[in-house]
Amino acid sequence: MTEVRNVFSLRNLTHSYGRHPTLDIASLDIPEGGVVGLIGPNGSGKSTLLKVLGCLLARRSGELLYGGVSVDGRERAVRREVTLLLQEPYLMRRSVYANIAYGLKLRGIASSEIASRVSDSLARVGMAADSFARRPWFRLSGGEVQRVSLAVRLALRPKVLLLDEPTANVDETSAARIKEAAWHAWNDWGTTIVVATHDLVWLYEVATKIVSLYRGRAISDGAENLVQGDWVRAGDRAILALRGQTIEATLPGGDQPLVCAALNPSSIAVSRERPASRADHNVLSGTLTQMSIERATGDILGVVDCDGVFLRARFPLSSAHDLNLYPGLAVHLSFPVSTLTFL
Amino acid sequence: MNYISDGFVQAIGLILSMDEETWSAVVVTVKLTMLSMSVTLALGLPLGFLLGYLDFPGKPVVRTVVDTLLALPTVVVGLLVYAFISNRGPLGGYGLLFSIRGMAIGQTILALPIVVALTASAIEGLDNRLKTTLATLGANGWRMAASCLMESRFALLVAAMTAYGRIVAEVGVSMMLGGNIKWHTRTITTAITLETGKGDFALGMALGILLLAMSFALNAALSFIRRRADA
Ligand SMILES: Nc1ncnc2c1ncn2[C@@H]1O[C@H](COP(=O)(O)OP(=O)(O)O)[C@@H](O)[C@H]1O
Ligand SMILES: [Mg+2]
Repeated sequence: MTEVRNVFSLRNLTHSYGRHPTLDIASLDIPEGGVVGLIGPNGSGKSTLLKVLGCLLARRSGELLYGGVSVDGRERAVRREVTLLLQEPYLMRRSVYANIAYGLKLRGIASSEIASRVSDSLARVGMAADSFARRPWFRLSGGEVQRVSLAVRLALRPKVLLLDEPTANVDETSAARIKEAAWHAWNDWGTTIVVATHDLVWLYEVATKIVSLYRGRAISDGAENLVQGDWVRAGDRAILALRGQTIEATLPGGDQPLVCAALNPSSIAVSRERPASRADHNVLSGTLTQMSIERATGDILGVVDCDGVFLRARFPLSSAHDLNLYPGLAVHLSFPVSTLTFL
Repeated sequence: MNYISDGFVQAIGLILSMDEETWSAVVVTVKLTMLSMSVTLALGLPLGFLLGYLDFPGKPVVRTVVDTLLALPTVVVGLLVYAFISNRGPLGGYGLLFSIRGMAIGQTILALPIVVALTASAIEGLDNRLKTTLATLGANGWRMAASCLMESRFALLVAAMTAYGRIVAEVGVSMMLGGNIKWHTRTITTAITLETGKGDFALGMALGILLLAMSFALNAALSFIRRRADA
């Protein structure tokens, strides 16, 4: 059994644009050959983290190891192996061909090899080299710009491919091609992929690890549910009123603001019949809206709409089978009051 | 009004049967413009690039000075350079006064701020995603700088054309530093001034048409190159 190596290891890493830290990550490892998903609300620091990993932004403190060695002083070498597809892609004012060839020329690759890599990369994002290679940058749709930008990175055959919301602003076809291309890069070359996205269905399908960011902090497991709203204090509990029901949580110590609580999908039990009420448990009713298989665990993730709050619950395939769960079904969720942790 | 249309008809005739004297003014103008433009671009593009690309203390002050120099009156430049290159000036020994090289010094001073200011603005105006994108592809240092310059090429072309317009159209510097000497330093613009002063309206107009034709040919060539580059 071979040991899993980490391409990136972060320890007590911080970054800030101004006074407030945009990133404050105690510990995070990106395993080699993994597909790591970054999720979190807008402004939580996903793009910043990807830029720090790509050695495009300097961290303020802490350690950033690439292949077990600090990146300090070898940022240029790291940038040759790690590439980032920006959240808002940019193409140089040149032809599609010249855009893709740019990074290859930089690496001293022969022009015959460049030509074949350009066609290969375009094919990987579902674009025919015949009709696209010679196009100027301004004769492309938004989705095509995004796909060409990905092709530009794929041509480099990167060790690590960082993708910042690659499917956020594109049409369905482009999104599908982009997802396929990322998957093939992983499959064909063993490229490690770190992807920030709001497309959780896709992530659960492909990710080997999911990291949640909230206000710059990484919450490795179980923060896929962020319950935000007007939490109010009531005795030793915090209470969030939904339309017809409430969620209760144990009050955190200190004067921590009650804004957002993380809820681990694994601690939520799903049932068809309403379970007996218990003082230390929340029981909610809702509608199962989605089910997907989670690649990292092999379990099923169900999304349940509870009066407009969407909660994810993780359960084994066997219970999905035993309970005969399917989207559209009315279900009940139950989870301990103490499992909600305020962030 | 008749003398204008008569002048125009005569002017066309003069152009078609161009005499050697007129031809010499055209040749001097082309030589002078080429020299001035070469020096202006050779100095102005790097300086403007540095001004736009680098961040250094005092940069806003430099920008303000350059912007002020944009409005330099030609006669002031003529006067200043004259003081330096006339016999009694510090550069008097080089025989620059009343020579094409002397005129080129004045024209360069006139056009340099234009190229510097417009180049700096072009570089500053580049999308800030460009540098990040180039970095993600592995570019840095010289490569990054060269690619930024390449990205702003259309704006740089505009800078060069604006400088060209200023150089080819000015009279003051050419008159004061060149002296409007027939066969030597008489340019199209100084010739127009002279002929109009003498009342030879048709010849002045002929020269004006030639000047416009030269600019038109250059612009047409550039737009052809640009269209080729885009495709
Ligand atoms: N260039 C910048 N200058 C200052 N603040 C920034 C800059 N880029 C991002 N921020 C701030 O940093 C925080 C994290 O942003 P970002 O990493 O873009 O989050 P995300 O990608 O998760 O939406 C936000 O509060 C954002 O306003
Ligand atoms: Mg972002």
